Amino acid sequence: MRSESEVVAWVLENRRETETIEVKRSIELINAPGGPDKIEETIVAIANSALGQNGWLIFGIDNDSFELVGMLDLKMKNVVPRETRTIRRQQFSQIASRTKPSVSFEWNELSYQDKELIIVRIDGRRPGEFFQTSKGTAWYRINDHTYFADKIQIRRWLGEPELEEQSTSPVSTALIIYVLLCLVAVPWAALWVLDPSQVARNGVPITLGLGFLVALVAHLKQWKTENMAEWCREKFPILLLATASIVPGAVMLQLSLLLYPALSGLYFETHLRDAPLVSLYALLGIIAGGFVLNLPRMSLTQARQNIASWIPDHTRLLKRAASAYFLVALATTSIIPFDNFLVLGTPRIGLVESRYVSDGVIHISGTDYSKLEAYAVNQQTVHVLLPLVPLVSRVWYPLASNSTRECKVIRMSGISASLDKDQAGRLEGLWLFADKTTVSTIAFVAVSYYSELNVSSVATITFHKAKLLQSFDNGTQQIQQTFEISNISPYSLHIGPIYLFQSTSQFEVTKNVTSGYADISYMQEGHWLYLNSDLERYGGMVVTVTYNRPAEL
Amino acid sequence: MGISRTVLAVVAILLVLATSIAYQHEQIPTLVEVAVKLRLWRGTGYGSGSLEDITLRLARDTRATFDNVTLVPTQEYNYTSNVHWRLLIVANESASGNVEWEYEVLPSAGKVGVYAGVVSTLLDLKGTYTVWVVLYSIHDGSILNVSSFSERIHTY
Repeated sequence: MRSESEVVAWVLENRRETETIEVKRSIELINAPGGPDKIEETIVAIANSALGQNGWLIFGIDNDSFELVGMLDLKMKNVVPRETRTIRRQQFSQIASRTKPSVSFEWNELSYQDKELIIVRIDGRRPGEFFQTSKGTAWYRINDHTYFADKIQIRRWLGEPELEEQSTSPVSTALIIYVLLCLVAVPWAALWVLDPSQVARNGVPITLGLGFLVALVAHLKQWKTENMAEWCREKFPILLLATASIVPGAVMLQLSLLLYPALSGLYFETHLRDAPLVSLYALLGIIAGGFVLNLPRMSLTQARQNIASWIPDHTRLLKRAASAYFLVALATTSIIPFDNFLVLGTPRIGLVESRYVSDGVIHISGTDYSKLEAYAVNQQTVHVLLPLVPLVSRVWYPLASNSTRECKVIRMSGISASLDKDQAGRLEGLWLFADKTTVSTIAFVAVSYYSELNVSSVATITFHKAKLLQSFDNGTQQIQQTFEISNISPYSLHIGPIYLFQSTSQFEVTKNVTSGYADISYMQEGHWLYLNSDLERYGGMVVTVTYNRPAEL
Repeated sequence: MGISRTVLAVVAILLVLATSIAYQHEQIPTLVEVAVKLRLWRGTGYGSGSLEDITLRLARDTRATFDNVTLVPTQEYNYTSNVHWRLLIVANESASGNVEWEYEVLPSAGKVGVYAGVVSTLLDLKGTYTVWVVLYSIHDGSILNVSSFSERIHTY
């Protein structure tokens, strides 16, 4: 008989007790005058009679008529309330714990044919062992009668040979799977926190090593499979609660990491962003282990009942666990703000200097006067506070440019930097590498980069309609073109080269330049007239060019 | 009723932690030092000058002002002058208010000539500012803006 319902069915069908099964009509017998001693005697008697197997004590079946009576009081009138049952369970636990050695038991509530029963599964003694009451009496049962064990009986028990343990019993298989899952879930999660690559490299050896250690200790301590399984079952809720505490911690750590860029001005990549997922895997591993561990002993219904009865009995533990979860979540949430405040493990930006148009000049150039480009060189200096104990080797600082022109690091101290560009070559940010040799807590890096500007925002450029002055017989045309450029920016303008018109080397220029200079030159290659100019703030020019445009151009 | 060992241990640990945190926080620079490298020309009746370089850095010492503007020996003349300069540093455009710092550059030598050196000061800035550095020359009540510089800064 493996399950509680099978035991109850057997008793109701056969209407008798056995050496390993006793029935009681009411749970209130635990609290009746003389009840605790009688219950203790019964527990000891059943445990001593159930050699290498389970014994059963059933509350809720009349021991004369063997009828189901359920959870009634001693007068068989009122139903015993659930709170009282919990108290009786605690009393029973105290009674069982005072036997020598303590009898292991499992308290189960079972609903059978619309009646509620309490079925206590009692672990039977092992060969060579026996149980005594707190008064030193060893009881045992023959059929449904209880007897006092004399010296001869006790000597007989002590001389019993060891039972051959089934190496492949369901309990031992479940225990091995449980231990393995625990030794995978917890150490692998810890290894992953240190370095994810360590899991693949050292995960299996560590699990095997720990497994070997457990097996060795179990062998040296002469732990029995059943005892180990029972201990594991007993401690499983604690392990589950402890492992579950990682989940809120991991989730809040992720939230804390999200705060880092806003607080520090920097970004860094870390595998810890996946901590919630890994903590869930670890928790699932433990849950799967617990499920397998309990599989040989109970059904899902019993498990549900056990959980339902375990929770009211451990409210204090659950409250403490909830407090611990809150503290863990609070601690992990505050990691980044705290670290950022004290600059202990991660760097922080202290000061950023942005010098726009750092040389005071905006450049305008173009291969065609209708397609001009304006740009300026900027400079940004980032001052970084280096941490006391660097935990992050490289961080990313966002620095975006809209120009593909060459950008470069012009100065750095205490920190190394490399430019991060997009596929088009535009600057996106800086990778900063902590220089471990530096003794200063302050480092800086200065970067020079270009910005493309809207031409119309820095200068007004007007090309008037070209005039055809005359046409020659060889097809050459004499053209007059006037254009005006004014500096409307708060900086100087450097204009040029701007390729204006294709011409022969004969040309005339009339110009009126204020606050600057303008020069029109001829380039043999391509026969181009081009403009070079510098205009101070508020400067401007009006230029008229008369040139000859050959027919072949 | 005495104090338990646990309470004593917790208090001791908290004290050590608080002291460590306070010490570490003291090590973190919170001020911005602005160092202005000047080159100044002093005539008998006029003054000019330029801001050769502006350097900003994080600092935590309490030195408020540093001035080593001195006469460049090779440019020394025997004529005297009462021209002096005023250095103005203004940081504005922040929700936490403006910072304005004004400093008179008054060389101890009363001679005309070329003066050079660095004036630095500490600013307690937080947030995003535009820092303006303006150099004026002053002579007989006339104030002339001779050089200026600005840059955008952001402190965390």
